[in-house]
Amino acid sequence: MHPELTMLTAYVDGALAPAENAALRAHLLTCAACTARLDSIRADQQRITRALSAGPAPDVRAAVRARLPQSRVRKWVVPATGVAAGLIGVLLFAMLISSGQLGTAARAPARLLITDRAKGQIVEFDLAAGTQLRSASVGPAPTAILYDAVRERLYVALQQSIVALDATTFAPLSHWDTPQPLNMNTNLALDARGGWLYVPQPGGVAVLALNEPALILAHAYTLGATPSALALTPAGRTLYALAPTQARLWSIDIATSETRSQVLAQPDELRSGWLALSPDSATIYVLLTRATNDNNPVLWHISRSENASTTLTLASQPPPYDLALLEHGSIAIPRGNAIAGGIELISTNPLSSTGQIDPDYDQHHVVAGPGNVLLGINFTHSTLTRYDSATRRIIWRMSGPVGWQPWDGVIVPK
Amino acid sequence: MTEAGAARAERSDADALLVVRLRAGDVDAFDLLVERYQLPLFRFLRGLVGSPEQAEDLLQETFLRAFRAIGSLDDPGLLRGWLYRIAHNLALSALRRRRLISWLPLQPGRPLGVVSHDRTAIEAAEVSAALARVPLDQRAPLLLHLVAGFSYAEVAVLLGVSEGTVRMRISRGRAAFRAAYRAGENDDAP
Repeated sequence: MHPELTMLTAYVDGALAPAENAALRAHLLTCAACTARLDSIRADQQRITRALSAGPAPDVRAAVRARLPQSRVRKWVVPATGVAAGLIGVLLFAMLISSGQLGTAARAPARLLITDRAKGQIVEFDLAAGTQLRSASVGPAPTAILYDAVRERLYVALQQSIVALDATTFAPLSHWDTPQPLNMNTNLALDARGGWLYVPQPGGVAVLALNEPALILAHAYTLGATPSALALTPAGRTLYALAPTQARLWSIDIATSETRSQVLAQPDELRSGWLALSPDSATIYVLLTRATNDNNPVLWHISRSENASTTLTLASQPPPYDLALLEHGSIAIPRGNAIAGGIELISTNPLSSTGQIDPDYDQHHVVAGPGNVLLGINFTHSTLTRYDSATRRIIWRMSGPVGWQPWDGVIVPK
Repeated sequence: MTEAGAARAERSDADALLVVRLRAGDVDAFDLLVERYQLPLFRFLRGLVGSPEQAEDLLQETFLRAFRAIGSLDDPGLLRGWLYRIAHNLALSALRRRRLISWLPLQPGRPLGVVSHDRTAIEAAEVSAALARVPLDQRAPLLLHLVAGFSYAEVAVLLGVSEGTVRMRISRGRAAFRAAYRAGENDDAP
């Protein structure tokens, strides 16, 4: 009995199972009719490939490039309206000097305050020894925490509010309910001297006034996208906002409320991103990564004065979770796959990876402070690790309260 | 790993790197993508739609679509299959549109006005005419396998059908091509 055509074509295409293949080959040895059918299949195959390989083929490179959308050419884009459409209320005093998170951090001895998402509290540790001192309830699922040295206050992002606490007693002072829930990866930006707290919200950035008895919304910048990462220049003149899913980075001039933006990559709903400014605020660092295992994170080095950028493609695994600038100018990127990862250190001039601290332990978030203080927060194993970022050695590692989930931290003076 | 397998893995790695650069907005990487894929994609599209002019238009459109949607490519190693899928979908839409607006007979005949004594050109025209008579759902897997070199399993993933369906359609496509090509040869008979 002769094999069906599907068997013969699959035989020619090498798509038969070994047993079928052997049986068919045995049949072909004795069947001239099927051998002829096979030859005809092969001849057609050659005819088709030969015909489609013949004739000129176009070179469409120039034509396609000419049709590429202009937004792909990375330049700052000034919106047609010229100013941020959503500016409400007064302009800010741009000359005032802010105290950023790094700048205010800790003259030794210092306390370390960590938000605990699982138990809705902040937990205080002795930075030198890593011993737990006390804790205080703050509300559901606290994430980002900032220290305001001018007002001796803490600001903590909760699920759907920002709460201000006394930095010594942890007594709640005021709170502002956000119109929309806060993303757990949201970070805040503080201009302590100017008295403004910047909070990412869907559609833009809310600005809270800190010089009033209660936290109140002073104004908002409309960006038409939801940023998750913010960074403020030390003098509080320029706010940077990053919307990772759109890979769009905004620059907001606080005095004039002029906004500009640039797109770093194609939109991607699965992308995460982080933002940091160099201490002299001349350089913006952006880390973008996609929540898939095969993705290579890309670190951007964007010069503010030259509008020029360079990138460094990092190893895909383990995935990164945060980005922090260290005082000696390098960048710390915690990585974790639940087993290993450590903290990758990147030299900034030029961008290059200079190795990992504690590579056999995974880390998720980092807190940096003066005196080469570098803290790794692991929210899976619920541990804190203090490193010396210069010697790359572990100073201490501790587990914290039972059942907690450490998330973000801040170093404050005793 | 076989030599073909190694070459495939190497190509997949090179593609993955290309995708990383593309996602980072690297326009030069886009030139590289076009350079790497324009010839094989053009051959596939020409086989699918028949007209070289339309194939060229679709080729440009394929790259522009890929450029816009590169962020949606889940696995950068699957860039090649993804590009072919875009090209295939665009060609299908174009053919459907052409069928709707065309005042030409629905059954494409032999190309008119091909007066050539160049055997290669004659054969190319005959093959093109025969391919046009192969139903589209058989023509696409046939060309993806024969011209683009995808395995049955890869074609199945690319077209979103089972491997058994691919086997059947390729086989029927070959038979349809054979019949159409023979009919063409007979037309030539005095």
